[in-house]
Amino acid sequence: MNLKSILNPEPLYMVITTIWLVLIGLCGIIALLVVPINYASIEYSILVSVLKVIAAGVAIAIWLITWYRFLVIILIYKMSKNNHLESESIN
Amino acid sequence: MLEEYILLVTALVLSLLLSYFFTPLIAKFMRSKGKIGKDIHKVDKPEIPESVGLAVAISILILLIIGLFFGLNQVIINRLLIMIVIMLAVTIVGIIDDFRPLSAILKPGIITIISIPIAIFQVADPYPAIPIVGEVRITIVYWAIAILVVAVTSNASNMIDVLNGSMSGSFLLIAATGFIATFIIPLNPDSAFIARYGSLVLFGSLFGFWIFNRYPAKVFAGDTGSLATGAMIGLIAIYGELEFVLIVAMLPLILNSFSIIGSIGGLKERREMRARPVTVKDGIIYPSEDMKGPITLVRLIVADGEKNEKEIVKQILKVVGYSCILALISALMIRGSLA
Repeated sequence: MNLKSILNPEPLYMVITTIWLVLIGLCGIIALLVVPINYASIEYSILVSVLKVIAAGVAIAIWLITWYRFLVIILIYKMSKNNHLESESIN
Repeated sequence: MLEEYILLVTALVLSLLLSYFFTPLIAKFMRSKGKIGKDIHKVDKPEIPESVGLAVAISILILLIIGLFFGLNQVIINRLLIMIVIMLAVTIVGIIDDFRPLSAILKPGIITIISIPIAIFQVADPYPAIPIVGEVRITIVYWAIAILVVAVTSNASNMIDVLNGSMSGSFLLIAATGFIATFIIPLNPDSAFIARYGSLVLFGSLFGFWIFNRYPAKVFAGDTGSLATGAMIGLIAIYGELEFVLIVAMLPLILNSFSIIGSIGGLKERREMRARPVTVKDGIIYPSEDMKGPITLVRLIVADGEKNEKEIVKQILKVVGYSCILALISALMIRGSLA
């Protein structure tokens, strides 16, 4: 790994790191908000279970959509840096 | 303990030798049957035998069957039996797909149906461990998710198999990560055995194949090899309790498959796609300028400048290697949360 690659890292590493951090963050949210709900103290435990699953599903869906949007931005950014494509589109 | 390690080392060596032995034989057979494809990323477009990934599937299946005779207890034997049935069925789907292409929706659909025994027999532990939280109790939802896992991982493997050694090289790293993670996360002995045995068998089988599949490839894996490889990782994740770690290790591959599905608006075959992600000219791969084209990992890598196949494969393996490091950090976090 040379100095140039350290100073100018591949944006894909940033994407994967961000996705991973968001995933870890989701685990944190589950730990803080979902796990502490005590089944024994709630009458409608099945309803709570279903709501937990729905909440997790929504979180995963948001994670996937964010991920896809992020990739589109990276693609546009990288293509804008591509001088070859720029010169072709000008011509 | 020593007995287990001798078995693991034997499994690694045997799977490597079997795969290394079967690969040229199957390549010769496929060539004789006219099952060849052009390597379009090379200047001279050589003709390469396809579906040779069958060697990987055969090697894995033989080692899983051998594992039955050394199964340390009934739980391990039950898990190995389900793995054998699913691997065999996925391999058959791969062979059919290679010779009579299945539709893009039908393929994962069949693999999901094939995975139903996971939910029926319920011999896995439905308590996946995740960082910060520790073990999560999802006894009902787990089985619904588990039957989708094999379809997701095999599809991700199938979609990354576009360049010489990109699939086999990536899964070599992922299998190695799975094996290392078993020494970080405190797993129960049955799951630890399945994860270690499965990872080493996959690693050995892929390594014997990768020698022929790496750039410049002398064989192609075909859907047979890519689906079987992906299915095996999915099964290791479920029966080896490495769900979170292997998801993180596979992030670039999952990213690749989900972004393709997202950008083309669903599961579609190559011939159904209106725009290609990249173009090839004289062995150099250029990104497509059409924003309607699928957003693939390869397109993202060449987006800022055209590259040759070897450079792209190297970049893919670097990205997968990086996510494997993140997976091992996740394993350390899981260990911390279980303590």
